[in-house]
Amino acid sequence: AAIEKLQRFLESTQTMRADFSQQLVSRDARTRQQSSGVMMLSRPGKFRWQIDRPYQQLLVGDGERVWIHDPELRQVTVKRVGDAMGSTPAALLAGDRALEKRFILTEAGEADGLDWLEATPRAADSGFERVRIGFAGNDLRAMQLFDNFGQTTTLRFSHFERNPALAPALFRFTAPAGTDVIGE
Amino acid sequence: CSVLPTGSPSGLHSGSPTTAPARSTLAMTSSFELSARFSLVAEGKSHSGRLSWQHSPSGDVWLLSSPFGQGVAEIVSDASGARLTTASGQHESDSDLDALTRRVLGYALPLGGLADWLGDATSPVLGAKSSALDTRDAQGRPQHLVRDGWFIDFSYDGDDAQAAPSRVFIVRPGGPELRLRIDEWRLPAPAAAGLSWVDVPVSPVDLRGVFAARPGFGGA
Repeated sequence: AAIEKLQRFLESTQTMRADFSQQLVSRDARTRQQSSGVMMLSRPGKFRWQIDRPYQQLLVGDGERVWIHDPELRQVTVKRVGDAMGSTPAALLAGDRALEKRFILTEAGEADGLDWLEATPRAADSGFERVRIGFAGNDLRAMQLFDNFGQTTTLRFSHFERNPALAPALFRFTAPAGTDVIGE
Repeated sequence: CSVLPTGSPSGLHSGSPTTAPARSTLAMTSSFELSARFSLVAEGKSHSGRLSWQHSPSGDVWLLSSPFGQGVAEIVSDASGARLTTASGQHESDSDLDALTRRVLGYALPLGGLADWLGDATSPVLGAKSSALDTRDAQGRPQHLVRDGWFIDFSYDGDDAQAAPSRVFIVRPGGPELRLRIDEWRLPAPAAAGLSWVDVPVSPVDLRGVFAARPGFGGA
């Protein structure tokens, strides 16, 4: 059920927009960091990941490079997509449709009212151990990433829009005046 | 492999994010944990993400994660040396933290000294290694330090004269620059909670003694 929904989701979703809330739980589960914001995707490979609370941070990927702007660090860093974002939630969702090439997909049943699947990377150095993806009906609602250090990132999506019209400029980054952009 | 001393400080305020603690509180403790966002710029390349750092008398654990929060590398540093583990399970080790970072990154990065400098920032009296170039801000808080050729700039949230730093920018002129925005501090419960730790003699005034007393660090 969930795997089929994922396939349909990947095939029918060219662009996507959703509010997200993110919780990062440390290995010893003693610390939980919450953040929330807006995410947008445009296949192939373009994404805009805008954290609004508790701090502001913007990540923009145009398919080749990823810009990260953190006003509090007064810096914009830019990196090739390959090494920086290879295994992130954004790259996963905006990446090529043939998820099976990169992941072993297994059904993971129902929980919290969602239909879940589990994706285990085929490559060892994918940056995380496994991902769970949860659907409500045909809509993507949640993702859980388990990294190689025992940390868990849980993402919940709301106000989910499938194939909205998204201006191309959203997936380009122009640095604010006077901010230095560092990197390749 | 938890580096925190046995009887690890379960008293740490679990998860309750404290705004920056008072410097005097930080001065009274020999351990802290912090979560921060970092960006590291060197040789035209940039790395940015999240950092979680557990510091205690017996050593440090640094966990570096991508901006999305997935662990990329963990460094454990204690009396026996420093060891790095990457997400794909590769290991590197060296005699101490600074030697390890120099080998892994190809340039020196003063992680070993950072706890000292935070110590300098939190002690009401600037440490013995203070230099003439050290300055304080309007609230009397350490603002700019110069240590071992590194310029260290602290900034604070708000005007509380007692606040610990919330931003630390470290640069070696013409060399690498590490920027940290500390989002959360976590401190062990007050000693009254019976933490079974090695009691490092702490004189409230001279925190430097605490930070310098750690094995395996350049320190004082």
